Amino acid sequence: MSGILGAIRSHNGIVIVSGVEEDGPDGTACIEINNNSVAVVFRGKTAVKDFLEKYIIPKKPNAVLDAVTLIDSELKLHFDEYKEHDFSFFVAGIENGRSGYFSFWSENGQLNTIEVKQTSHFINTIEDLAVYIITKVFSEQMTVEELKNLMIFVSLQCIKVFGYDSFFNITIINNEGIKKMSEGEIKDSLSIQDKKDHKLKKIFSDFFIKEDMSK
Amino acid sequence: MTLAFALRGSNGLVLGADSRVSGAFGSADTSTKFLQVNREIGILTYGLAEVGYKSINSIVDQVNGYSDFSATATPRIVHFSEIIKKTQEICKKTYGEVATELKKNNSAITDRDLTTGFILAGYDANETNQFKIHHFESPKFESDERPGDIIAAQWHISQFLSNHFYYQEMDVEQLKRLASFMLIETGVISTSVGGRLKIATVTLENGFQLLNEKEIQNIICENQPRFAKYRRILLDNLRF
Repeated sequence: MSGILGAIRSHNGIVIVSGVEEDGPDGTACIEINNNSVAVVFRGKTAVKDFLEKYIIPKKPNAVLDAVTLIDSELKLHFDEYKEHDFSFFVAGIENGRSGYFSFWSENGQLNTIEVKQTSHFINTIEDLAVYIITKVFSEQMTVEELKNLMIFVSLQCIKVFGYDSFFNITIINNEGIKKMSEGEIKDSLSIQDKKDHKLKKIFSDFFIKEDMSK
Repeated sequence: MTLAFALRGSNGLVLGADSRVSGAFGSADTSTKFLQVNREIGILTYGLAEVGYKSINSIVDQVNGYSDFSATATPRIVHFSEIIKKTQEICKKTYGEVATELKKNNSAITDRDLTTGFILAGYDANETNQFKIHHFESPKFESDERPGDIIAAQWHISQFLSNHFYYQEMDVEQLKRLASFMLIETGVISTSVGGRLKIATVTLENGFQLLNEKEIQNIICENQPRFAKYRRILLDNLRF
């Protein structure tokens, strides 16, 4: 999968879909910062990875807000090293039982903004389709397990529509910490969602054939 | 961008496009992306408005020989295969002129930024007696014919909908409902898709027919329960 698919959060957890590590310099990645937060990179992976490994992870920030503050100050301090790279990433994590996102980006050699995003879902804007499906189904009351299923359904649709690679990572953050789904788990979940998709197609088979939808 | 598509049904074709034009200065819902070429054929465009508008007008003019008042110097083009060739020639020429000018003013512009495409669809009454859908896209504008549907430009959401709802066995009446549904659902998320919906049908009996506003409004009203039911089905099946 090239390009991040996105992240979605409910009141007690976050589910993140990202590319696989071997995706090349333009690929996306989900990098663990500590045991309750991650950095999700969707532009300039190599530069961000290098920055995090050099200046953030060794300092072992305690929690999400600590990590965000540290990233903020270290980025400003060492920005010259990464000036020639355009990068975008966001930090996602759980703190005091609440989930949150913090996003960072650099463009044209300038660290323009550090923005705190408190939106329910954070999706790379290229993926209109992902936003569309999520908007139809999502509610903040959904459990992390339900969110995971929804994101795998969305990923399945992106694979079918865009012809994306079927290898991607799913990272789940909840009160118990960070869990990365294994390749086998993802494969099994994709197969369950594919069955659901076939069921949907069957339900919709006469959707535009019936003239009166109330029957 | 825009949403442009042609759907093939059991008794004809349904063509659809929105009317939004977006640019550096904002957007307006006034563009003409859709023209009738002759009795049985229509053409749709998406991408660069200047290339699209100039090209489709020029195609209609040259196919029908409108500029030739005596109608003797340039004969009308009647064969579908010749119209395909003419479309390719005009699109390539117009695109070349506009793209060169734009690239001259801004060297950072790439072919991808200037993506422009056309969908030529209709009934080939002279050669094959079949409904045909051809797609042309910049920079080469090579003709690509597909057996089923063609959905272009801002196509992702509509492709998802088409994957779930579209069957070639559907007739033109049913496809009209699907076309309006696809345009409205895409406009909900994609800001570059919107404005008046333009839908046309091509059938053997009636040739190319552009639906008027009242007909489109009736289809939208008829679809209202479908929007609600569709969401209900997604919620029931995907939220666990």
